[in-house]
Amino acid sequence: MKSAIFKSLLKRIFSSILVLILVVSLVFALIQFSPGKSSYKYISPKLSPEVVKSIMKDFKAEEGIFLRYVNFMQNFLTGNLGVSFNYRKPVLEIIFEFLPFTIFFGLVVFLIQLILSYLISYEIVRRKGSSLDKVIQKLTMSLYSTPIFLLALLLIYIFAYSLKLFPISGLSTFSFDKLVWYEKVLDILHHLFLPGLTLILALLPIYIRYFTSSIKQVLNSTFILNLKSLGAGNRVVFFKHLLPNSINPVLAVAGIDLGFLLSGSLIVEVIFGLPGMGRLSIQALLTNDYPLIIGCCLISGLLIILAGFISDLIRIANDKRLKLGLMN
Amino acid sequence: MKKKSFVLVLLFLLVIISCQDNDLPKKNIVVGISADIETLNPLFSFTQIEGNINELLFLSLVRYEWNSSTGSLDSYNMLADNVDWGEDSSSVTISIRDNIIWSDSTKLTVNDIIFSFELYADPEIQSRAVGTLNNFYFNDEGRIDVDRTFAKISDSEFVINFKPGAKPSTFDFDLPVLPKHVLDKLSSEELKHSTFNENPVTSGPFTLQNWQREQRIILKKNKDSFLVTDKTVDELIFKIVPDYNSSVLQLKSGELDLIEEVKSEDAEGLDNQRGISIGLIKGRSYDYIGWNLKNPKNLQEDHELFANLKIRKALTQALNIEEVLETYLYNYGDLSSGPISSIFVESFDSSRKPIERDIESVKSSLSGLGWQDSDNDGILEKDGNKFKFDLAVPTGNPLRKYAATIFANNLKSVGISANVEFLEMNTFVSGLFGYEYDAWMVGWSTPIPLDLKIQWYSDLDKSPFNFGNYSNIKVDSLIEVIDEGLSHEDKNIAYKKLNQLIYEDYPFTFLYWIDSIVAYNSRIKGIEINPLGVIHNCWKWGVE
Repeated sequence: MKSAIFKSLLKRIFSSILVLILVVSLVFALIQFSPGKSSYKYISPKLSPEVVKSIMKDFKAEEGIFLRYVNFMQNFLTGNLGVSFNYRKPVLEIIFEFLPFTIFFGLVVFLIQLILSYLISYEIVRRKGSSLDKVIQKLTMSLYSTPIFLLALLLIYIFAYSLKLFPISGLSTFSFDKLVWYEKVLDILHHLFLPGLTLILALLPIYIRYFTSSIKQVLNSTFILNLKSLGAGNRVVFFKHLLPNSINPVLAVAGIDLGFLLSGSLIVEVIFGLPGMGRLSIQALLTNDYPLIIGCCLISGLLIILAGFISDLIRIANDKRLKLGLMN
Repeated sequence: MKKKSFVLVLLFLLVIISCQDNDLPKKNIVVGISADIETLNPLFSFTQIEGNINELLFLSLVRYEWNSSTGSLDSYNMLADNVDWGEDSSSVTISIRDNIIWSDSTKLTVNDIIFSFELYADPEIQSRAVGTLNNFYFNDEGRIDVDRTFAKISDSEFVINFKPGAKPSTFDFDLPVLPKHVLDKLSSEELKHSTFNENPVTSGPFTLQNWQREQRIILKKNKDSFLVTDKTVDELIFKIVPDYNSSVLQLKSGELDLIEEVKSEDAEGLDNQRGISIGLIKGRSYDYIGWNLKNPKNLQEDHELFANLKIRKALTQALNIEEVLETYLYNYGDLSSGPISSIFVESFDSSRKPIERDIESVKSSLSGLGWQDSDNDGILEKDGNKFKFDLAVPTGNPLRKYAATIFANNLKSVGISANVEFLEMNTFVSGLFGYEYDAWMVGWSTPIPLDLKIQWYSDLDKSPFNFGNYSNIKVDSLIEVIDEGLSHEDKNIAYKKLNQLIYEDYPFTFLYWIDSIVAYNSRIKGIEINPLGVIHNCWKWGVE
């Protein structure tokens, strides 16, 4: 059994690498065929024709798409993603400047919203038909139909601009370097409250829907009724039986959502001026910074695969029957 | 009970978190910018904001001020103490200030200046100035011939010798000076990726305190600089705020002190807000519709529609440009009558007015050229061909989207079908450099000092921005005459003539000069808004 799992694990890792190579190759091909050149942004009326020509020449790639692809793959497989045109630094170095924030922010927001949505869903199911249920249903529908940028602007207007409780944008205050460690933590939390709330409120309605239906299904199943009839306490039923069984179906979707969240939440990052992968990726795209675009796509792909893998591991831990199937 | 405690703890935490304050020194100014810069090295500062910030960190020999009465630049000494032109202007002797110290406490000398010129002109480095220092002597490798160009007299005095036939000016030596002792150890390749690009050794009125990518750049007053006074702000902070709405709210709430590129629809509201002032940078950029005079499919052939001057004029006369100026720009701009704006006072012909909309004249002109709507479908025809064309417009600019729709309707009313095609900016620019469009609508920023050659000279190798294949012998010869050097008065006359010739050829339909609107907190004192920008000489700014 153990060797079968090991084999499945190896298979999964191999297929993941293959997917990543495919993703990167596809992005490479798309870039080659897309119009526009990265040199254009360096060209302004102030520059002499000689400079314009030399810039365009400097940015001209070597001839032949096949040769370019071979060179690119050679570099890629040796871990060299090239140097960003914008930052004039190795791509990986830049990505590692932005990635920690995205991972921290994405994970924290995702965990909070998962816990919140589960608790709210549980209360809704418990108090089905009550006024709380009705209010939450209406609220989640309203939130679901509100575009995230509007939600962000509304929250900024109320909490930052009118009530002046939180800053409008940025990750820290200007005097951040002078603060002691706990002040730094509080400062970052202070700045991340509104963006975090925006993302949580945007994701909450969807997960409340998922969890409500899942909890209902588990609560109505015969084994729960049996447990209750045998006198099992509410706490035991909730933690040992309801929770593991009701989160499993949602975790499959959550894995994909987490992957996207870890690749950067562009709108929130732009509106709140946060230094995340979403902003880095879009800037690379808009300025045709090819090495950085490929680097961002690679990391996004990697995180999506990784998040899916982690969610599968959690599901396996919850339900041993899934072991071989999910590994494959 | 447990629930109550939980809520109380949560509230407590919220209060603590919310009570964090900016804790800023009192004398600072926060400027909102929409995107982060890429480098602090003047060698590679291609964008305007990079240039502006670099000017605060690095001294140049001379600098410029905008003279609004003449509409031109006046130079003044910065690092230079004295600039003494030789009799025939073939050389200039420059002595520099004696008390300039780099931020690492090394003294700035003439060696730094000569080294800087070498770097700027080095073809391997590809700096922003490579190819522009044409009046210096160069060797066969394309590098500055230092021995022939420079003669060092002492650590604080040197001579620049210009090559024969050159028409030198202060523009030949106005580049920011770089520290030799830091950069001369680096190869050209190392220089491109050096830590100096992010954490430079500087000499200007401000030094770099902190640059946090995609967050902020904090500059600190350099107390040793001869430029700063007690009034100079302690810190100048450039805060990166990518979202426009967020930056407006931050200006209103006091988190930002200054923002640029305010939308015209917001200007009045901000102007009425207590504590906020509005300033205008006029006459720097205009929008236009370009007409390709050559057939995009075969550039050897004339364009079947736009090669005809009468058609270009008729198209211009058909447009209701004023409507866009009033309804979208709220009159934050002026109608354009050529490539030279009114800010260039002495080069601008104020008697020349933009052509007025005249539908009847358009109809009779087109009819005279044989364009008739014989099948009554609302579109003119001639020799079986309909009068229709594609108008390429880049996406991402709501004004142009709005204007394109209005202009297409204007043209339709005279029987011309303009199919507006919105293209992603990179795609659009790619097509523009490939002369692929029949017609296009985009904007242009006028360089200071004026330079019409890059856009209007017929030799496309020398005018990379002549996207419409415009060619006029008279325009060419005037540009050449200006290039060769003219007296101040003659140059102004030549520019007036050039503007007239270009406008009356209608290679573009010049639409409007768009005011760049700046909004700032009224506590900033000494702010000077002119065509050179806002963040210019801002060591003179103070706060109340």
